[in-house]
Parts: sequence; structure tokens; C-alpha cells
Amino acid sequence: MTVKIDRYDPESGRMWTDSFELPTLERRMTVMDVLEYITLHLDPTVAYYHHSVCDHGICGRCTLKVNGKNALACLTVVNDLTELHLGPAAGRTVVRDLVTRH
Amino acid sequence: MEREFDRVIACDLLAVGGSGAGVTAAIYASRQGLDVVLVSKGKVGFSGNAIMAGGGFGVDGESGKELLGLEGADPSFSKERMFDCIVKESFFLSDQNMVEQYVEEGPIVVKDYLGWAQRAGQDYFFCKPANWIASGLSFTKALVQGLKEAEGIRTVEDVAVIEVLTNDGKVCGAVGMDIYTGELILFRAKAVVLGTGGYQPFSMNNTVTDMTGDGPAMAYRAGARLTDMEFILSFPTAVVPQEMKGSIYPYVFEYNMRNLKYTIRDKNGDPLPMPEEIIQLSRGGKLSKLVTSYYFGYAADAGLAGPNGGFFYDYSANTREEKEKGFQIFYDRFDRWHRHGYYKGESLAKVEKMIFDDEPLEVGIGAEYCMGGVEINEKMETGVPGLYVAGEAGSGVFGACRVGDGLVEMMCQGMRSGLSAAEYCRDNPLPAVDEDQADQLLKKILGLFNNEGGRSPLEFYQDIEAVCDKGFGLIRTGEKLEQALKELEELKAEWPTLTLGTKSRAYNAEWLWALQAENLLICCEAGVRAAILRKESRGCHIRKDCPQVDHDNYLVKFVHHAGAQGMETTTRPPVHTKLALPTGQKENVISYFLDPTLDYHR
Repeated sequence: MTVKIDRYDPESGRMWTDSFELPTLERRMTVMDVLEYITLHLDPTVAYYHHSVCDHGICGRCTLKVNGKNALACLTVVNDLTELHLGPAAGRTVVRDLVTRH
Repeated sequence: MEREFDRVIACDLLAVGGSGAGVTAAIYASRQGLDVVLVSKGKVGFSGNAIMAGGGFGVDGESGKELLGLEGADPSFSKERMFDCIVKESFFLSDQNMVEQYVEEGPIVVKDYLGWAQRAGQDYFFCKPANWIASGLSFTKALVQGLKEAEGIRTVEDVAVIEVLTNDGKVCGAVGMDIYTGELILFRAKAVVLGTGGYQPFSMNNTVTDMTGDGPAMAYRAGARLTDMEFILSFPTAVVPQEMKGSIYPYVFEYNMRNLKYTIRDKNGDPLPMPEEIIQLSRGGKLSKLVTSYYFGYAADAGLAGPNGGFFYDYSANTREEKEKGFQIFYDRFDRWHRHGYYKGESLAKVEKMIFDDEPLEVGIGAEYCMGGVEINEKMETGVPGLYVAGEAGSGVFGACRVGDGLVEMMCQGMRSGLSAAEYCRDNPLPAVDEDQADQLLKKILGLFNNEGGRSPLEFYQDIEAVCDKGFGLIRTGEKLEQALKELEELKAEWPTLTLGTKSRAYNAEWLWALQAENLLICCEAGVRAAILRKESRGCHIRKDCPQVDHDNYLVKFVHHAGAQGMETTTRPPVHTKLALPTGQKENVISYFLDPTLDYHR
């Protein structure tokens, strides 16, 4: 599976999109699991909402854009998707990559 | 030195932690007229482990009737009986002065809390003797209401406190990192309350991602002592559907759908060898956490776990009507907080179908809570003047095993810490900051940006968990623990070389995780050191090579402090007031509870 991620570096103001190749998924995974996989194995610099996270749709803080629509990273299962393009949540200020604030 | 900080915030009391302990500390201190700043790593009301809660909270029935005026309370579950239960559940490792504080002051704070809950429009499910089933956010919404009603508390959110500062041995403030901007904040304070929660060393857990041991580790570096760090509580936690891994629905089902019978089977279909009498004593109650951990742990150790590391719940002995009734009880209680058919934000459709179709439901064990933490007394003092600790970051009430309520613990200790700090602040001026200490700290944390060629802190953090999964898990042996300690020492030596891929500060998770890893390592080292020394089994510390509960030699606490050469560990007996400490040995942690002379009745 190819995962596209919209990046933003607040220091330089640069914006770009990276593509990551994921191995065949052997278990059902959420967007949160995918991001954890990418930062652990492919690129530790990808920023996503990562601190103070509940992972079960309680705190609502991991909102980002999945294929063009705002969704919670912890509740969105990727196995049934044919493509995965992640971006910062619409309507918020981008802090870095996928991290936004009101 | 102050020039190197991006912001300076001065106050009387800095309350750290955005959940029950920090918020109650802030509220009660502000009622005493203190200038209070509350700082939270996340957003107050949406962070900390209380948002994960599925059980609820309770007080003794006497207080329920008299102090809270509840018609439905059962006074036969008296203060005395609650005290007796907690000490016995702790395997007598409770500091009994801490249990007395919990029993006496818990109802006082719960009374205030229920008022906040009512005014916040929160509805809890009441049951005897005087318990309320509450769910995550409904619990924290009441805390936020209490905070709103208190006057003048300044709240700073999404700031991780990374060090407590002392001058001449006394607290003089703390340093925080604004996670979004990367700014460093100097907090100048007469007193600090750490209500930051516990530490979670395992990859399989059901907590928020903040259980990185910040409070215990910062207190340790400031000169406080850690104890009971070897005791970590786990309970039945989802492994299927895989996308729900870590959900606590399995335990919440057990606790609420008590009409349903089930057999727990291993991967070969054989039932786990749980004696009927221990099932009778524990199932549906919180003692079940320890009991399930014990049998799951041994079965997993024997290679009998399923493909997701769990065991299989077989509900086939129940009729369809019984199952429907079970779910109806569950939804009657939980629909007040969640969408029908959901638990928290997740759909239960797949799980329901498996149970109705008699498809065995694989369930794992996830870590929830650590009994250990900073050594404190009944005033929440740490021995470091001006430093107080409350809630899971502290230790003392629950010893080797918790059956009582973490939510009450955090609130009654938060309240007391706020009051103690208020008294302290009245008599002590704001100390100056020790410039050398602050400079050294800045050098350490900013120095991480200069490293090249080392590993990512994110990968490093996961390695700590892997070491603990392997050597410090549910079923322990001296040999595995020694290996774990050796590997933790190696990781500790590697820490100064950790390298950040992102070299700027705004939302730099690698930077934050590097600092959290340092904290987690201290907590894990203390836990593993104690587990090696404790050549017996007690509560949640289960040693395959030393299965017996040995009161004659190990009814002691292992206490850790920072010595000149690294961590030093000493022992002391638990504080006892009303209940005498037992002698003798029990065959294992299960027979400890089955022994009729224990006279245990929750």
C-alpha cells in the first residue's frame, strides 16, 4: 500500500508530499497504526498528533484529513481503502505536517 | 539564565497534570487563596488516564449514607471494612496511614465532586454499597466544572513539565516544554504538586500515551524516593477486532454483564485451570484483574496463547435471551455516554456478533495502572520540601495489588496535596532559581539537537517496552529479570546519543519522546531492580521461580533513591496502624485469597 502524506516544515515554510510504501498488511490497522509504523520504520520525522492520545475515539485530538475528509486517525481502518492520502485537518492552523491546532 | 527561557511564569503553587490529581490539587489550593497555575501535557478534561476509565468510583456505605445522604447506600460496607479490604488486597503492603487517608478523605472530595458532576449535567449509574459507574469523559467533565467554579486558576495546556527545579534542596519551580511551539517555560513556584500519573512499561496496555513515568522520574531526580515499582496492574483487554486493540470492552463486559457465564479457553480449546472458588470470589469484581492476569500469564508462559496473544472467551453456555439481557444491561448503563452499539468511540457490532454466534472471542491482557510511585505520607509530602505527589504518580495506598478505586485515590490525594501545599506556601517565600541547575538542564535537553548518527527516540522508546515485555511481564523469573536489567542499563548508556531527525522545536515528537524515554527508563530500572530482589510472589509481582507469598522474608517495600553512583535500593516495612502484619507463607497469590484465615469480604 502506498501512503501519501502532506508535509509542512514550519521553519522554512516548505510544503511537499511524501510517499511511503507499506508492506502487505497482515493485520487490521488504523491510520494511527500506519503513522506509528512509518515513524518507527521509515521516517521518524513525520509529525502527527502523538502525545496525550487515547487511541479509542475518546479524546478526539488526532483529527486529520484522510483522502480529503476530516477523520480520527485512531478510528479509521485502512485495510479496506485502495488509496491513502493523509493531510492536516481542514479548518485549523497547521503546526507541522499532520499536526494542527485551533 | 532566564534569558534562555522563552517564557517565565511565577505562582505560589504549580499543579502538574490535567486529570483528577492535578485538577483537585489546584482547586483546593486556590480555595486557600493560593495563586495557582495548572499545567497539563494535554488538554484538561481530555487527557490523563481518567478519560480511559470504564469502572467508576465509590466510597464506603456509611459515608454514602451519612455524609452524602444517599438513601440507597449500604452502610454494612463500613469504613472499617473498606480499610480492611484495601490492606488485604494490597497483600499487606499498603502503608496503612495512606489507606486511612483514602478512606477518611475520599468521601469528602467525592461529595464536592458529585456536586460538580451534577452542575455539569453528568449522570452516573449508582449501585450499592456507594458506587458510581462513570465513563471516561463524563468523569473528567465534572472535574472541568470544578475547575471552572474555582477562581483565578491559570491553566497552561499542551505543555510537558520536564524537570522539577530545586535550590538548596527546596522546590523553586519547574521547567516545561510547550509541545506545539517547542518553547521552554520557566515556572517559578514555592511548591509543586505532581499529579502526572504512573508509568507503563509494556507495549500491550489500555492507557493513554502519556504514562511515561514523568512524575516519578522527576521526583526521583529531585531527591524523592520511589517504592512498589515492581507492581503493575493489568486486566482483560481487547486484541480483536484488531483495530480495537487496547479497548477495555472485555473487562467492562465482565463488570457489567454479570448474568453471563463464560469459560476461558486456551488455543487448544482447553479451559484455563481456574478453580471454581476463585472464579466465585473474583469474577465481575475488580479482584478479577489479578486473577485473570495470573492464569493468562501462566498459560501464555506455557505457549498456550492464541494468535493475538490472548485467550478465548466462550459464551456458548448462555441462551440467546441471556445474551440479549446482558447487552441490554450494558447498553442501559452506557448509552448515557456513548452512541448505542458503541463503547467509547468504537462500534461493538463485530464483538456482539461473535458472542451471539458462539464464536470464541480472543481477549488479551493489557497493563492499566502501577501501584508504585513516589514515596509519600498522608499529607502527600515527599521528603523534598515543597514537593508533593498525588494519584497514580505516588504510592502507598494499594501496595502489591489495587482493587479499590484509582479515581478516588487521585482526587483525595489531590485535595490533600493542595491543602498541604497551601500551608507550606504560607510559611515559605518564593526561592530563587539555582542558575547552575537550570543551565545544566538546558544543556542536556537542547544538547539532543546536536547529536548525529544515533537512533531515533521513537524506536528507542519502543525498545524499552520490548525489554520489559520480555523480562518484566506478567510471569517473571530471576534470570529474565537480570537480563532485562542488563538491557535497560545498555539503553541508559545509549540515551545521550539519541538523535533527532527534525532539528527544529515545534511539535518535535522525537524530542519529547527522548525526554519521556529517560523518565520511563528510571521507572523501569526501579521496577526491575525490586522485582529481582523480591524473591517471592506478591500481588501483581508473580515469580515462576518463587511462587510463594513469603511474609516472613518479603513483607517489605523496596525503596529507591538516586545515590552518587546511581540508583540505590533499601527496604522498609509497610507503615501499619490498625491491622497487624501477617507471618508465614502462602503457596501462591491465588491461595493467599482462598485462605479462610485471611477473612476477606469485599
